[in-house]
Amino acid sequence: MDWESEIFRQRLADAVEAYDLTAATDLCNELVGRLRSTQQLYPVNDARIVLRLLRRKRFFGLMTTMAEALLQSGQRSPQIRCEYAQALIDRGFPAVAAELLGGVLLDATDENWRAEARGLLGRAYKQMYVDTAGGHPELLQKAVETYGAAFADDPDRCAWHGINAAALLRRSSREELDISWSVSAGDIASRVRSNIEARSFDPDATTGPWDAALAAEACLVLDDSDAAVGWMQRYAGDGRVDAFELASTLRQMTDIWQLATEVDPGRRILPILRAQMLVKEQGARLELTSADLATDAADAPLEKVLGDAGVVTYSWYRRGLARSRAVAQIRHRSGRAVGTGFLVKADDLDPMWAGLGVVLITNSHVLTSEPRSEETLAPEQARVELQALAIDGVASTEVGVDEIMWSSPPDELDTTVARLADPPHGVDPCPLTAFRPRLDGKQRVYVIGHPAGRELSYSIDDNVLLDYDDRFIHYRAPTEPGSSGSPVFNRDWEVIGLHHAGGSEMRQLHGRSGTYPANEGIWIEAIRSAITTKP
Amino acid sequence: MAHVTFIHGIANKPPADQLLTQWEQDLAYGEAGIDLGTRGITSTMVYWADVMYPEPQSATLESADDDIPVTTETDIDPSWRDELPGEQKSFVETMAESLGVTNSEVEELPGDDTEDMDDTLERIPLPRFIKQRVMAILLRDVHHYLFNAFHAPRPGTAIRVQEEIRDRVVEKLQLGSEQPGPHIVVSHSMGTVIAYDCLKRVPDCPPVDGLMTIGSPLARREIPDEFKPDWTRHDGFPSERLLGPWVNVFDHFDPVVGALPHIKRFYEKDGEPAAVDINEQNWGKWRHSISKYFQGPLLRRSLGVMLGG
Repeated sequence: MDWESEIFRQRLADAVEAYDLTAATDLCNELVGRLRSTQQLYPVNDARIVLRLLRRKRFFGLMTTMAEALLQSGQRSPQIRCEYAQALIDRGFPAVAAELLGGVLLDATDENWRAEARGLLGRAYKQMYVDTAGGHPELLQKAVETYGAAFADDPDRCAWHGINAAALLRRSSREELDISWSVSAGDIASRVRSNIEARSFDPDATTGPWDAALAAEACLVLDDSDAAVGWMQRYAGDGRVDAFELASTLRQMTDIWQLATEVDPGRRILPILRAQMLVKEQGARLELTSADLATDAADAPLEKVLGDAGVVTYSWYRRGLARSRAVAQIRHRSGRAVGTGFLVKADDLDPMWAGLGVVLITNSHVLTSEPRSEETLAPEQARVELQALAIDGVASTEVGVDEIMWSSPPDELDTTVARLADPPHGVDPCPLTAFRPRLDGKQRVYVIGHPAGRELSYSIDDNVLLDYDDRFIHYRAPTEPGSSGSPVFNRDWEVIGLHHAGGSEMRQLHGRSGTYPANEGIWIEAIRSAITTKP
Repeated sequence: MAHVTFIHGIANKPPADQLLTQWEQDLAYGEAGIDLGTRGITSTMVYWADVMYPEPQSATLESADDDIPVTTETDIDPSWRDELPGEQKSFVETMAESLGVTNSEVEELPGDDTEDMDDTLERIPLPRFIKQRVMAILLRDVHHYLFNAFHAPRPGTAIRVQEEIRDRVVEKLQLGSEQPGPHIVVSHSMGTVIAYDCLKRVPDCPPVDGLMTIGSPLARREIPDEFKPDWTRHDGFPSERLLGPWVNVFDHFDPVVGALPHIKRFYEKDGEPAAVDINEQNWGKWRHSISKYFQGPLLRRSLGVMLGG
């Protein structure tokens, strides 16, 4: 192909690294155009690099477009079809992915790619079983057979297939399903575990972080939860593991192993993975239930399990958990989710409000005294749901809004401060920062909210602070509708802003021309200053 | 917002940007850490390891819990002491005796490294074979800096040590002085000697608002003598270019600081003690570690105040 493939890849890598979906889309369209206009095949290794770049930031839609164009152009190598299948599974189309992978297994001859395809096929069946809420046990049987057969044929190359088979067999036992395989879960796990243990003591053996994850799962199969926690800590603490991988492991722990933070070993394993996800450079959304917020592992032997650095990370994560207890979902009284809000001390906003206790802060396009659209609530329409109340055993987790104390319209500071009808007790309000972070491209922010009305979640995908001026802060944390009114935290878990908007074409600050993909929050200091100088 | 200029100490270091990141991380570590980035505080590092070493250290040895930054591989060639002129020879001999570096050859180890050390007991004082290695490096660096010696870290590169490092300090302090808010110099080990020298004796050096010296050898009697005539005990405080406090942080078992680590007795302002000495209790075998000092609550409290709360 007569063009500079390497330059193209670099441009795409830059766009992906900057989380610039618009630029990445333009570049992919350019490549698709070239693929369609030539008979020459795009080199398979270059194609894989392009697809993996897109996968790294979870641009699965673009990945699908690119893989489709590659197949249409005649580039049908197993590698490309496996990447395509991966994107389809991640986009929620595991059945189509399974069909595609069936084709790969019919004509792929390279053992590595056959193993990859069998693993993905097992994953597709597993995902379908989870998606159908267990309604189709035959999917679980297929997943076990696919993983199990790969392991039986090549136990060294396919250790992770074996562990998946064992985990699914254990799942089927818990659910009393009639799923069978020629080798027991325990036998598979024992073999995988002893192989990894032998390698970890061999100075000449190459071991990767995934070995530790596999060993952890093997220990779960063998009911050795202490060893599982130790291996999981080793895995999570390995600098080579990125947050996407941690997220994938976390999904396996919650979706397949059904671990929960209330009981062991989930009580020890899940916080380790979540805490590490938050400190990694890139991540995935981290969603929490009220049970997660209630979990207190302070009495666990943390130093022994986590090591000194792990304890610091975990302690930092727990501070974040504590902050999330002061984050509320704001709903219409009919139950429709509208936005997010959070509790702060009234006198942190204005010393004149001393004695008023805690107040709710959110966007004025979420809550205001005189709504101008149906999407905005008046105080009498609003219900504020605090998951923290459920933790404290309060029967009703919803409180009403008593009065609007201060508000600034959406085209100014887009902020409302409101007093709650029945302010909750025992919830620590979010502290406000006195500082502006450094603008060096390395500062990270954490948005805690209820995106799209779902469970409380931390947005940590690519949460770099991009820019700020006297009124706004721009950051790259991906958010969705429903995040409006979320607190934006710095690394010290102090509020630096109030999230209010986001998009792929956010106008740049400081009068610079052009747009970029960014989210926008209101400086907490700008809000505080406006409140204290109110007439 | 404030600005911090860091000056590192003896022994080889990772590349400058990595070292700066590592120091910031150490300072931010844990519950009561000071996260400069979050507070909007800018920082730079006066990097001078490349003046003494051919290439940066590939991985830092000073971030682990009980790291000791010397091994047989870090030993320096002692031949630099062979042909010193009289005044320098006399300084080096006195200083060597004070530091416990009695021979020009570093003592052979009773094993290759620190493996023979008992992990369960704290070694106080530091085992002799380790102390000698550290002090040999300190002796060379102090000498080369104070006497502006020629040094060739790489083939074909001969550098006047003091001249080169002073230029770098002035450049970084100038950058810092252009930032809004207080400008604080945080120096460690040999870096404290460099910081003091520049603030006291370099006319081009811009003034700063605060100085923190950590694990400093400045209270060793031989060093202030070399700052004469600019230095006297009664007028040792660098008042002209240090407009705010001088906080000196030491651990009694840090081998670099010496038996009497208080600096206020040597660096008075108009005959009155002006610097503040803080005894920060580190832990483990190696008490000179900047990672450990940066985790000290007293250091953090003082630095927090210097940075404006």
